[in-house]
Amino acid sequence: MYKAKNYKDYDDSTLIKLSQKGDEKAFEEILNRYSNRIINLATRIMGSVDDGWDVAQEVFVSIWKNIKSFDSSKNLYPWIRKITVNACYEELRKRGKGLESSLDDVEEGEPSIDLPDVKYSPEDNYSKIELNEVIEKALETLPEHYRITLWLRAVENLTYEEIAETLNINIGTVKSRINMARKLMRDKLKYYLEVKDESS
Amino acid sequence: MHDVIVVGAGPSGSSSALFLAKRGLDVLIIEKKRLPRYKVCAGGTPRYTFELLDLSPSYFDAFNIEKIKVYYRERVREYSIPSNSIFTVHRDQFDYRLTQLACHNGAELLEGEEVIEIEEENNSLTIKTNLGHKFKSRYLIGADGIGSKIARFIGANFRYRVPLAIQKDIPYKNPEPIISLFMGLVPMGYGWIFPKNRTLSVGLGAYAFSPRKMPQVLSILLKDLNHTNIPLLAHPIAFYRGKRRLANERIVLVGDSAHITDPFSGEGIRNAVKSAKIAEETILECIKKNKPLSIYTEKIYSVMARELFLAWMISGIFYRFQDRIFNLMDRFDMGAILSNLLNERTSYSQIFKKILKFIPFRLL
Repeated sequence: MYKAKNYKDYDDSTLIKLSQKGDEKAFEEILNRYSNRIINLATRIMGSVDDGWDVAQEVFVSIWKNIKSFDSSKNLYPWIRKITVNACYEELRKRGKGLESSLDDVEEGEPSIDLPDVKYSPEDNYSKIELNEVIEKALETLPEHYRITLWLRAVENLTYEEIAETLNINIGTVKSRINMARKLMRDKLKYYLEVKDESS
Repeated sequence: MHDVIVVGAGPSGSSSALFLAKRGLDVLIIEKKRLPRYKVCAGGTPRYTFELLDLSPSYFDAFNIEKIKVYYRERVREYSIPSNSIFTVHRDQFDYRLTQLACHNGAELLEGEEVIEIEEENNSLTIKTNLGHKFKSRYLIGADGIGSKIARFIGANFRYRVPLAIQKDIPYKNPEPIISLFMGLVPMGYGWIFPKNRTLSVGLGAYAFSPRKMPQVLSILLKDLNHTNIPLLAHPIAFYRGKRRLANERIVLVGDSAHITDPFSGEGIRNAVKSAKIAEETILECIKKNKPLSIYTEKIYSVMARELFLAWMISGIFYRFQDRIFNLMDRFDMGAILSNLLNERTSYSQIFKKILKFIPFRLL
């Protein structure tokens, strides 16, 4: 039935069906397709390249273990993203870093700024890494809760509902975290924003 | 003005110098130590590496490995290694002879001086050393190892944790030609005994394990050996963790300074020599077409990135589940698998698919 020459030509749902039948080549292609995004997301949540890569390793094993039960009619990436986020949380929890929740219920309604485009993939666009270093450093210093939520919103482009679903929190919390994260980012990037304001 | 200055005379630097000198280019090697100098290294080298160098293993007095034993606590599995496929070398001799050969082919060597400054001008580079010497060249090869100054200079940004290896080299008259690997000692890593000519290298490599606790673990492997006066030395391993910039218009990074050590085997010499080969090709091509060397990064990664990535994936499975992997090892001819992997007759992609097929992940 599936007689294309190259696994690269298959769409996700075909690759999933083949993986579910134990086709390793199909799974390798899924990895090829999503490894950058997984590593990137995990690196962002964990706050460092090494931790990101380590968690991503577990994520890949977890995808292979669970792919049989995945509904191939659904989109693959949201599922992968959820596995990644959960694996990161689990790792952070194990380390006892403790995701502080007391700051969750901050005021809403802060005017928001958009994060400059920090989309890049550690596997592909090495040059952009340097360009966005300032933003990255600021992002790294945010408390985990805020960093993860803001990343999912600004870079992964998730809606508030999707973030709530991915992180298992309510929408109000998502909104307040994003507002707080943006406020913190604004403070950290104050110097650069002011320079920008003057010139405009 | 030199065509190329090579900073560092390890395997990647000396082989780059050798390849380019053979092509008739004017090459200067700057090495901060005096050769021969000791290096912490298990020294495992597949035949493939000697083939890349177009030299026989006997040129380096390489020691031929016949067997491999894998231990997990009290249990052991033994495998034959296909004949003449894996060797060990003494790094002081290996690096020294390769550098000498580069010099016999016309390269120049400056020893005991360290590069402290690089200046880029329009059509050339000026390199200054700690003794105040200045050299001009068209191109520069950064072969100055992990923590490379040249890498920092071009903004390669290798900001991540790397595993640490510790080792003792113990004089030993006629070691058996058997490599011993010890699983189950540390969470993400393994111990080893590598026989070399008149030497046993006993070491431990670990990732995310306290360096202070490593000597204590290594003492398990040292207990039957006379090692009291032998210094314990440590070295970081330049693992791959995603792509970085490995070149600019006039500078390329090779070997450990490019962080391309195989994350599964920990073997670095093969990729060091491979990167030197790619550096040679890139430099010749760019001279001919008058192009910037920046294309080197893509060239390296198009050959290595996928394999390094999968080697890392496999190492994650292998070292995370050491007990269960050891139990499954009786099904596989590990001697042939390792030999084929290191000699590039099998790819990590093939091994990865095999692992997915044979390892019941639900048990992990």
